[in-house]
Amino acid sequence: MIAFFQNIVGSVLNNFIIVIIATLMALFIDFLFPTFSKWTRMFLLFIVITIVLQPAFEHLVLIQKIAHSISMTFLSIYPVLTAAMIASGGAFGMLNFQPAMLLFANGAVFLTERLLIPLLTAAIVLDLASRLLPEVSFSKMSDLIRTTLLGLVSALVTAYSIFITTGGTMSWAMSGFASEPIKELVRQNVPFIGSFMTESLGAIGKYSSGAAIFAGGWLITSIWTIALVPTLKTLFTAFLYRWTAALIEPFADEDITGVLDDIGKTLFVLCAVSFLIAFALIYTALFTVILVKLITTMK
Amino acid sequence: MRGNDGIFLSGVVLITILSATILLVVPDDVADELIPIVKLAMGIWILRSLLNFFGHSL
Repeated sequence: MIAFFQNIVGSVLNNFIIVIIATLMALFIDFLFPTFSKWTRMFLLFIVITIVLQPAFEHLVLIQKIAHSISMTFLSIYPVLTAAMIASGGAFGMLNFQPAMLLFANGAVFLTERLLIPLLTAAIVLDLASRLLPEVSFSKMSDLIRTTLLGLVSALVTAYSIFITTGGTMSWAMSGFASEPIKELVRQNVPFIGSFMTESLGAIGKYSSGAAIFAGGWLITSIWTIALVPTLKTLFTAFLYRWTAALIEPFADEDITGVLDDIGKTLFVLCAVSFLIAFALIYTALFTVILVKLITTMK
Repeated sequence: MRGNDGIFLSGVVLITILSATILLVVPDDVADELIPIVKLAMGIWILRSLLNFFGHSL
């Protein structure tokens, strides 16, 4: 786990250290040549944008690639799953699963790949444009894009949880009093998507605890870990952006900290989007596991 | 849809970078006069893209 975080920090921190050093250099140049302050600001902005955008776009491309490969996997696995469901016949009926969920999961992943991630890219570009030329500001539009996307993702996850809870046979041990302080902690400390995270994790947890009876706790834990690694990575990088912004705020221009903050916000929304993919993966993986278990034990 | 999005964004980025550079190069009093022209250009571009997206349903 520590190696994992070191890996993430190492890949991103270099860029942020360059940003901090460039900001200090700009301060020096401003002090020595005050008449060139406009040029210094513009050059600094260009340096920051070129360096800082790289990790953000890497994450966007990463999530898009994952969405693409997962939707391809779904397309290839569904005929087999459907055939297995038909073959298992009546035994399947007692589980009360929703086969429509599979279609829904695939739709969500497709939506992510085709609509949500391009819109997030647009939000980043519009943010940068409005920082570069403050007279022509697009900040309202990029804010609108972000909040709309977040609303869309939340609605989709709510729909998931409705599907799952009407499926019956599901109850969750962790929703008791023990996890409430942790939920509250996450809700307070992760900006924008904190409450969304706790709610959606609760919803998917409800489902997987029902599945744990069949599949075993360790298997479920490993599926969760695999599915949530990209999300955690994105979340951590988003926090790094905000931390850097907070660190350089006393001595840097407001533009620079604003750019970092905006990219951080967009990455938080990306993190919420990647939750969708994680859910789809968790649901399908557990579904497959339970189906295989059922078929092998009923035989 | 995707291609149109890309074109809209590249236009926005192009106008922004070009006008930011021009505003840097020219002296301050000329820059003040140039800003409305930049806004006009951006407005025309946005309206044109809007018509491109939804124009056929008007």
